[in-house]
Amino acid sequence: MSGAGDDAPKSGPGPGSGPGPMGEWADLVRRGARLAAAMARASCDGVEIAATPKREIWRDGKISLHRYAATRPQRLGPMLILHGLFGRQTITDLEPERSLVRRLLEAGTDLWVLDWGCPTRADRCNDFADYALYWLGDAIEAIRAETGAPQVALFGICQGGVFALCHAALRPERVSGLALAVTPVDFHADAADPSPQAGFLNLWARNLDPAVLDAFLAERGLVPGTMTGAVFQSLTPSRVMARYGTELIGKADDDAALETFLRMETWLADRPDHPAAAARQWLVDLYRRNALVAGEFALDGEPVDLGRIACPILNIVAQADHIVPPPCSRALAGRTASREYRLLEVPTGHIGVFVSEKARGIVAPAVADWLAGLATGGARRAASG
Amino acid sequence: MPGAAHGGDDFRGQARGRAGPGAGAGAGAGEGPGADIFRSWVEAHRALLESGGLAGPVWRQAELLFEAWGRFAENFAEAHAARHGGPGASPFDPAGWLRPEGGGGMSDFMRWLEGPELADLWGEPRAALKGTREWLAWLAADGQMKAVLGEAWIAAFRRFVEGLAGEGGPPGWDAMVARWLAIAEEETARAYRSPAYLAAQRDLIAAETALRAGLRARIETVAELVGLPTRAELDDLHETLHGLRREMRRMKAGRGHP
Repeated sequence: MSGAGDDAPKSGPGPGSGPGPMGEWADLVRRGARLAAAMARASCDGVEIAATPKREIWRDGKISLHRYAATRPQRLGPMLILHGLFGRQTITDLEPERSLVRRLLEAGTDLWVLDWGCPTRADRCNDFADYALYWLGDAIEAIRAETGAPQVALFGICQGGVFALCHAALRPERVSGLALAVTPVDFHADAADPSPQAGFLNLWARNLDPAVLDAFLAERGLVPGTMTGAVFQSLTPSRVMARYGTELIGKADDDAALETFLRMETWLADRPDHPAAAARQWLVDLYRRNALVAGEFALDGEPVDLGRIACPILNIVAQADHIVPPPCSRALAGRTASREYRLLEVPTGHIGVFVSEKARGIVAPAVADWLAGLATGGARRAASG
Repeated sequence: MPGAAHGGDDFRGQARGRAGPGAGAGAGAGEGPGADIFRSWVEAHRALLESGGLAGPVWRQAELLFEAWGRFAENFAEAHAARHGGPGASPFDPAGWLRPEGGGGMSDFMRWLEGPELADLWGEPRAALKGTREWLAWLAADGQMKAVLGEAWIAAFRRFVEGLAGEGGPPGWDAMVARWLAIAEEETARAYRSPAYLAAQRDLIAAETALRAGLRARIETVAELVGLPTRAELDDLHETLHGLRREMRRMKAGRGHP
């Protein structure tokens, strides 16, 4: 995936070029040939993502906790990045130039990431209690033991944000602050989204009979990653067409852009299976029954009361999110006891929050600034306490 | 059929007369091509019985038995038909099998297969029929979904073409692609919210789940037959392990850990 070779067809004027449809067609053919040559040189195995150095600190079976190597003196944190089960944690460190992880490290953050691994059917009974209460609790304890910090800030992403919310509600003494990104809270607030392209997941989850969903999950044991990938793709079929059409052709003359494209493809292809028990809670309890905001959600018998969360909160919402409609995330406001609630609206889609050029100068500085506030606020609280 | 029991010497003569080449073509009115075979079979048995001293009385007993069975079947069919009416409703009425509604006897057979399950009868045909029906239901649901989505794509294409037709000439490549993608996204979004799509989605997931469950049950039957562990057994094992881990978690939590 280095630069284009000399044998690659070059774009630019040539026979058949010129104004009008025929000239455009000739240019398209040239770009297609150049893209084919670039793709032939690229090896998908060689597309590396999540390359920021890190060290495994704790592991329980498939689940592992890693600490990123510091690139600056660590003055912020510790903060644990927490993803959901639908996508791998590698999205926050897709490539050096678009790595949220690297930018947070450069801001001086003591940064950790939890990797849920790739569940198999043997994990079909794992539910929210396993992930959001027990394994997350183990990881926080490991961070506390390693750093000596009394509390840990959580940075929850999408479903990982719901895990973080649940833990902060059930074990508030462990959490210094809660940063959430594209996290659904009110699963029925999609009705308030004016975009006709948003909220299909909410609508479809409510459309399905819970008995059929139970039978589906019991039969499969997992929601296959290939299936969730296909569902996500089907939300915007024309964008998928564009991705492999005009968008890809448009990268024919830009090796760096093509490399980024292939890194995103690598992340998209690495979609884990989702355990059935947790999927049932996600689809039936949360998406269908909206149990979290109704105060009816419980982990291993412990009710999740959002009103118990009093730590500072940074809520990052993607304004063009078609997977988690923005009103579903904004609904967190006023539902907790936190007196330090910040809302950050980013003009991107669901994934763009972590990888887009638009978000590059917004998200990492905002998180670093929020973490700095946690540090001073913590010192202030300690002094007054 | 009754003729077979009352054939006597004439019957034997007919059978012999048709034993040569072209015998099948000489079958009379109301006699199927298998009649000669059946008569030969009866002839053979009769010859066997006549070879002993008790052949005559034994044969007569058999004839009486056949006659009694025939009367019973007729009476039963009549009574059954009187209760249930329509053709094919009487499983012991051969005349019903020949009617179109009787399906050559299959309509009764299918009714039995789909009726109350019997412990030791027709288990395999019942499972095969269920599997076939589930497969057909999945095909129908899949077709329903494709039809709904196909309608959306056709609507998008129509809008796109009509838009182009209203202009002096085609726009540039990029503009044309952008317009097509925007229209396609609008039409698919409209379809995704339609009652037809939502119904198709429900049906497809239900049909796919039923089909998979049926297939797995059949495969597990085979696995059990040859002594292989089944998916259900492994699931049971994993559930037990998960329960034990959860118990350990709770015990640790009681000591102040997560």
